[in-house]
Amino acid sequence: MSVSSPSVFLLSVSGQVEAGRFMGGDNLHFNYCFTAGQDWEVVSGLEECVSQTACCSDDERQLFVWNFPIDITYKSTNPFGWPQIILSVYGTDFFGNIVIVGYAACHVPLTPGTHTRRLKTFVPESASTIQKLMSWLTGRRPEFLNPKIIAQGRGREVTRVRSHGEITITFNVMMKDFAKLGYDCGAPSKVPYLGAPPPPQTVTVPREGQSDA
Amino acid sequence: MTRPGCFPRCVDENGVRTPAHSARVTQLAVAGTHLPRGLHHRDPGLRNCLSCRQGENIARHRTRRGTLSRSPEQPAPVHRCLEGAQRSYDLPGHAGMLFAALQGCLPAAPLFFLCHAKVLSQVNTRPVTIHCRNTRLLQQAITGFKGMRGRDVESQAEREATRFFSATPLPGPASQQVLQAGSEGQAVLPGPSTAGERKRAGRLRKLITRGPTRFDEARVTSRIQGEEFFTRVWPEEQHTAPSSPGFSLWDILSPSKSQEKKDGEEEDAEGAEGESHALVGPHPCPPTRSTPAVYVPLHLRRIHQQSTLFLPSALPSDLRSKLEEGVSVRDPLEEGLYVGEKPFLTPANRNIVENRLLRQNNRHWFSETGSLERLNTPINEQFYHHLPPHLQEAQNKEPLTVFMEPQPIESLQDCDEGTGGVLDLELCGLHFTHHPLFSPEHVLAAQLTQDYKLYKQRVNLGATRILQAKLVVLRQSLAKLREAGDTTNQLSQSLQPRHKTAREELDVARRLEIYRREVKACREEANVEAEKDRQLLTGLLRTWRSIKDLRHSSRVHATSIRLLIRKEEGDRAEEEEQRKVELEEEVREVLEERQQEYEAQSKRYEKELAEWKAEHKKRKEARRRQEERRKAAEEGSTPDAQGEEALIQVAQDDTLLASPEPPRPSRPPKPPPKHKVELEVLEVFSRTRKPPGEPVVSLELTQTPLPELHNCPDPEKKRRQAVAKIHVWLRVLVNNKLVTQTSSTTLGADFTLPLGHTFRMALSSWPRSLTVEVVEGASLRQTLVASITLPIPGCTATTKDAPEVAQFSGSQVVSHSHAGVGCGQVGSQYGSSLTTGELKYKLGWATGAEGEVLAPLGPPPTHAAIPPSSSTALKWVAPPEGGVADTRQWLQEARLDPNDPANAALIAHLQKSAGGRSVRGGGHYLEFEGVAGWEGGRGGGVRLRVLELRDQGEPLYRDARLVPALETQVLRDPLQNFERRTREMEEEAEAVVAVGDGGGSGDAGASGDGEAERVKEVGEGWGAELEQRWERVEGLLASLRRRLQLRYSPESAAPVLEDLVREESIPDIGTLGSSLAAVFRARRPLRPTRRPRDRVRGAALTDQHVQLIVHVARAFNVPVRDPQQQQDSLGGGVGGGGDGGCVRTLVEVTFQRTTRSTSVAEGPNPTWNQQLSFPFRAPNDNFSPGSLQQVREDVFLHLYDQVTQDLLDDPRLRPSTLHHRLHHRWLGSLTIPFSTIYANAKIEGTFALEEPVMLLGYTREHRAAHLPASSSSSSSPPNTPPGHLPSTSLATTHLSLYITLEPSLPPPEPLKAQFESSEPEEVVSAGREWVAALASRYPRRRFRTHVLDLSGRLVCLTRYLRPLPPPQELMCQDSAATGDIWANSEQFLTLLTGDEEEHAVLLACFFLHLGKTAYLLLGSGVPEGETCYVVTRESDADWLVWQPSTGRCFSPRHPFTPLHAVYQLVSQDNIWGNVQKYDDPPRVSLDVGGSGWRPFFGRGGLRDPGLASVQPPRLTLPLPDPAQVKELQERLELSLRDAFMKWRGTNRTTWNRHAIKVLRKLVERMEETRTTAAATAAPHHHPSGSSSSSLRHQHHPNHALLAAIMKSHQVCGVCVHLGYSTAAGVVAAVHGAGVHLTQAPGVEFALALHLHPYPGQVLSVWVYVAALVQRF
Repeated sequence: MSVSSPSVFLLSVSGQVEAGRFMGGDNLHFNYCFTAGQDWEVVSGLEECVSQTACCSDDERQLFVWNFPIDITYKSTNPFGWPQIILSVYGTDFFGNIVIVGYAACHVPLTPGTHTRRLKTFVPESASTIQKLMSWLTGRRPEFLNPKIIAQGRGREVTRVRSHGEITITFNVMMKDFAKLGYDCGAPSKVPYLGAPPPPQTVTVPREGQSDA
Repeated sequence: MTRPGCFPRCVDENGVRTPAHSARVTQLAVAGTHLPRGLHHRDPGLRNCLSCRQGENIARHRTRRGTLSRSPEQPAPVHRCLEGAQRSYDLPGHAGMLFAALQGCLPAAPLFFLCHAKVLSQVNTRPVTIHCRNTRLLQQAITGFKGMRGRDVESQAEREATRFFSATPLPGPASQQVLQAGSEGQAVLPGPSTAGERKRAGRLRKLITRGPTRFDEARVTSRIQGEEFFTRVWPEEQHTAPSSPGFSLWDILSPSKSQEKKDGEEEDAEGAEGESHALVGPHPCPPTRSTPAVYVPLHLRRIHQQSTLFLPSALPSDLRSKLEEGVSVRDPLEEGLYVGEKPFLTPANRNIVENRLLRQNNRHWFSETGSLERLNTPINEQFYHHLPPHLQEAQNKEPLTVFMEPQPIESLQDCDEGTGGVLDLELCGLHFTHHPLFSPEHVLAAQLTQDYKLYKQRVNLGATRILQAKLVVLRQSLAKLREAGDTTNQLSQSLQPRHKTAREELDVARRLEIYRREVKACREEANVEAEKDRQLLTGLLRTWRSIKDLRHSSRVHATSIRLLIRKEEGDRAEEEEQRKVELEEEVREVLEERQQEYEAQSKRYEKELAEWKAEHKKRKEARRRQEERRKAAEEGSTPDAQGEEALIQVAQDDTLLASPEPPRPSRPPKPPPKHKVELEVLEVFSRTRKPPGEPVVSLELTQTPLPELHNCPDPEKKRRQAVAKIHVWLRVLVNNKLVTQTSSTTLGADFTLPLGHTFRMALSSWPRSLTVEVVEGASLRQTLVASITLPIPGCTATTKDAPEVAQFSGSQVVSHSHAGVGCGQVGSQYGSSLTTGELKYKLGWATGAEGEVLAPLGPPPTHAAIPPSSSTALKWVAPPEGGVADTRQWLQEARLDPNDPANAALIAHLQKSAGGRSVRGGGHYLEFEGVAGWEGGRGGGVRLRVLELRDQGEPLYRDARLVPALETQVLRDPLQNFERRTREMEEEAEAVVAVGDGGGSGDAGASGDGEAERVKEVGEGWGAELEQRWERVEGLLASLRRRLQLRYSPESAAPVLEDLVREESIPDIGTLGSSLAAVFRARRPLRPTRRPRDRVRGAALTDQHVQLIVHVARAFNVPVRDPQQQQDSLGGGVGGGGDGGCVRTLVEVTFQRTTRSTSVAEGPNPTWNQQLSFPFRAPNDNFSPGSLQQVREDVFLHLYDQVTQDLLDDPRLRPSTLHHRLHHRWLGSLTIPFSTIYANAKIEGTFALEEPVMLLGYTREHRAAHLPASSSSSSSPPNTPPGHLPSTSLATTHLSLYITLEPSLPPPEPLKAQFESSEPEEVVSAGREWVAALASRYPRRRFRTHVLDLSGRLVCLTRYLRPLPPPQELMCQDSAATGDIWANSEQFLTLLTGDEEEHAVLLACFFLHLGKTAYLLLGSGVPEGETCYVVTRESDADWLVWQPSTGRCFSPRHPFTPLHAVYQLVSQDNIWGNVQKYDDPPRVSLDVGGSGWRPFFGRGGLRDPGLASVQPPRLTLPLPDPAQVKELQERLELSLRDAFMKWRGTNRTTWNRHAIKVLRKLVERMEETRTTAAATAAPHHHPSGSSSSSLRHQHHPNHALLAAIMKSHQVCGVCVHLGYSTAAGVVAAVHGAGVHLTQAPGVEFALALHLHPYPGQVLSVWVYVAALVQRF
């Protein structure tokens, strides 16, 4: 295909999973994965990664800092199935078992530029009290069979979740050939980079950790 | 000089808005002060002017604060640049006060003057000068200003010629002044001083007081040029002013600005920016010149003004003046013509325009009505829909069909009530128009009321008046036309006689004619209407008279009715005069008409008479000739000389005379003389018009209070008591069920029942009927008076504002002794009528919270009322059928008013359709061309279609990734192919279903013919056609299944929690116990049991690794190498070459292109016990049951003998060197479809292998065959299931297998939905009960009485069986189709695809025809799972079970049957369920008469309803064309050879022609021997279970043919037999034989293929492949 008329558009996402706040649990690590629709293909970069284990900060912030980089480039022909990042955070419980601490998912921002997302995480709840007790004892908490479920809408109605913490991600989004293929992604939004720590209340939180699939 | 029209609007520093004249002010200011150039910028006034000059810009760019300078020395002028309201009261300064004061004191016309009065004042300047032309205004201003200032105001108006007013400034700081003024201003001006003003004043105050102000003595003059720019004629010197050289403001400003910057004074950035904006704004005005002010004395100006200015009055103008002379006012509206609606214009504005026009003496602007001629309002009520261009062209057909996007009806969408609706019924009131308790007066009153209503209606309509007005106009027009015609005639005759064409004349005549006709019609119509009016009036008066008489006679008022008659005396003489004129006119007209009529008639008469005369003459002639002939005959002379012509003449004469003579046309009557006509017209007049002098009567119906009861006479009293006693209530019935009723109330004296009840009813479906019953009753008894059936509202009808009226009438006959008149009595004066009345009600569906209509879902029943069309004035007169000409005629006759918008659509349409002129322009037809790139809507585009198909999960596109982003890059061909195929498939499906429905009415033959034709068309041969059909059928079945799933499982896999969340299950007592027991359990039990696995749901299985596990246990009865041949076999085996019966076998399993094999085991009964696992890839990684059911892959198991060939040539090397070649020889294979594994979760058992029919070089181990069963069982492993004992009868190789999926995938949920059925309901329900009863007792057995047919309906099983004559041969087709759909045999044979059920049905039908007792056996078998066999009864206790898909048969006692369990038997007329203890075939008694079977029909259950069979009476199975078969065979063989060579890869493939020839001979006899053997062997050898496959090559008679070859060659060959489906299938089968793997040097191959055709295009394929190695 000639340069003048591209047949695909490219979406490059870099950034990092910066930090998280979680009540309870320590030695957290997470893994992230991207999902995208059928028309999307990874050109380069890692679709799934596991982070290092982070311990809680000693100061009063009680922060888990990972600063874990994201770098992936997609090519696509169809905005349907826009890529989503799915984070599942694991940590150790009281008995030292590795348990799920939180799930979060969000779409890659739709406009080029730097975006900060503060995702609220959640974990599935036990179906009954006795199962809760059991899971606490055995260290086998309920978790999603497939974390990609949280990027879909179907079937979510049967689950019950408890929100559990939050995690901050920064995306740097670049796009190519969107306009040429007739997609208008608008101007880059001017969300300030979170480098200078603003008070949490004033940060624009465009969306919750829930996905709308 | 400034140009008028480009004045910037601005506000000066005091906030006084000086609209449109600031430039002039600037000019004046500059002129007045004559400041040196450089100082201008320092002058605040000038700076104000600058800002004024660019007021627009300042208003935009400057903030409100807007100080130019903040220097303490400088005054702080405040620029208030306000855009906004014209009447800005935001005037905090002095001038503002003044301005406001002016406004306050001149409330009437403030704007006019103020707009033109320029008040330029300055806060800081001492004198305030006001220029005003208007002395009155000035006076007021001065007083106002004085009032504000309080003192030191001096009026100079009288003294100075310029009349300016100067106020000396106050002593003290200006701020104080301002403060003072501001406070005073608030006090003085109550109106305009608003809060905002106060605020701003305060801010201003602050600003001013901030810096100490030291003002110059600058005196800014404000002049008022009280002149209008638009109307004034400027004096000469002002005109010349611009041309005079001078400095313009612009010239001054530019250097001043630069200087300002240079000075570097404290300019705040904002101000500078604002100023620069102000100065070099986007639209600078052209430089203006300053001229010295010239004052014109006021009185001069006033005079000038009076001569030049005109103020149009807003009062209505005189009507007369608007009309041309000699034109009378007429109102087309009154004449009944349509006058369009004019756009709204306020009367004042209209009057102004009119007066202006009148002033200009432009009368042609006015119409005859005396009003402005205006176009009708262009806003069209109708929406015009744009027709697509292709429809616009081809639209001479009616009615038009236009594609409209489907639009969801909101009411249906948002109805959350399920399918029901909420119906609102409001009963407003009931009124009796006749009741048994009516007194005679009531009857009359009712009549009066009714008549009055009609009268009122007619009066409102005013039809007579309109018609008469129209008549007058028509007469006038007629007269005018006549006159015009005469004059033009004269003119044209006198002036241009040549130009008077016939056409014009014709036109005039035609128009005259039309007018005449019109006048006549109109007159008659008017007469009819007027007569009706008269009659009504007289009737009313008569009724009223009789009521009055009645009241008088009975001395009581029974009703409160009263008719007021108003009379209006007219001028008798005038009326008489008018009447006379009318009379004359009418008489004249009638006379004229009569005359014309007479003329026309007499013309016709003359013509007819001439005809008649000619006819008469002819007759006379004929009679004369006849007479002559008669005479001649009497005389005896035969006129033979005359010949033929004479004969013809005679015949003609005879016919002429035989017909009756037509009567002579009668002369038309003379037109009646004038006096007669006069009489006639007079008579009509007497009927229709009121006699002159009679007063004009208008009526009004009112009520009067009724007299008290005790005043009444006795009968009336009694009647009233009876009325008071009676109670009436209404009952509402829906579907003839009582829903509700109103409370009972007594009737009033006027027999009305005010109700006002609203009933809200929730209905589950459309009501069938809605009835309101009127019930009346006294104390105990109640009678139904009448019932009213209300129309059921349409689905969008809601309750309306106006109530509807339903008339009702009862049928009872009542008579009373009191004054009540009763009803229904024959012969009674008043009581003859039945009880009647009317009910007012409102009925409609309720609206929901969001305005949706809560009507029930589904289509309304047919009798539901169509919602009445909205108020279209057009009464639709249906144009007669029959095309354009009729329509046109109808249009002409109907004479619709083309101006009326109600008719516009019709007329436009009719004209268009009649091919007339263009459509009357009404709507705007917007041309929306298809916007490129838009993908919605119809058509959409290829890309969108592909995306849609992918979303729907079409197999072709399900896995499509990266669908091209651009429309042009999407491949069109596959899509088009796909669409075409889908269409064909649909057609095919319909055809097949139609075959089933048609019951074999020869459709098969027809389709066969169609097939043949298509073959010729395709031209590729029959095989390709067969293949295509195969593909189509596959797709068809898939689509059928998908459609069923779509239809009956709305959410096939609704996820549950287990699908999404992994969680520990709750421990119950069982799991606890087992976990406790696990402690004590043996670690390695002797007999391990399989632990049931956790159920894993499909939705969770994404990305999981599912494995197919094949456990190959062992094989039985593997053929061993023939020792005789083995000696001289290929190369000689190493491992088992020595002993004769050795075979080294291995099993190779292939699944999804992965091939694994077991190790090699030796002997005829090898044991591998090996587990092979294969990764399973679901289509598109979708592990949902729906997609798993679509998996069509098979597990192939091949049993090979591994032959080791020693390749060492030199035997001396043998001790030290190994050089072997391994060669696999195919011994048999087994194919298990994945769907079977999936459906059954696991497959376990011993299966017979498909073996080559001929296996050269191998033999069965006869020793094993002759061994007793015990010895053979001892050799088998201990845990063999009892049914799987190898027995003596075992003639084929069997393989023990265990196949499963890990983790186990959930089996597809059976469709539990209610299917439609065409069966009688009781049969279906009885079947359901029967199945439920049996299933509860035997949960593992599956019973069913009804199955789905191809069209997705339930059909009783018995209907599938019917004796069918089989064709000569019976051949079954193997198929891979699995499903629950049962096709009947004809469909089956048309499709050539079916599973066990179809085969079994066909086989059973054939058996039935042969007279055998045959049953369909439903059970479970291996490997197919739920399956269907056929059982035939051979003798009393002997049964044979037939496996229909392979054609094998065996005894049920046979231990190695593929049948595992027997669930039920089906015969032609009954179904029996197995209620025996066991269901494995050897232990099941198949005698259905016994107690072990529970029948479906009979025995306490349902009687056999005698269901007709779905099978056709006979099958027509066309034999394929031998030539085609031959061709296909050749092609197949060729392609096989090609494939074979390809498989060989780099090795050279040599074909041995001789061997091929021999093999071909062999192969051709195969089918023959097979069928004969099967036919003969089956019945006789049944105990041993022999079958067609029992043929062994040892016994084969044709084996000798091979002998010659085998002498010279080592032959290793395989014969494959299968039913033909596709060429690929045949190729795959040959590939599975593995002959091509032979690697021996110098190997040659032989391949022969034979096709045996069977009726119904079933083909049996035999392929013989052999590898030959020359013996040395």
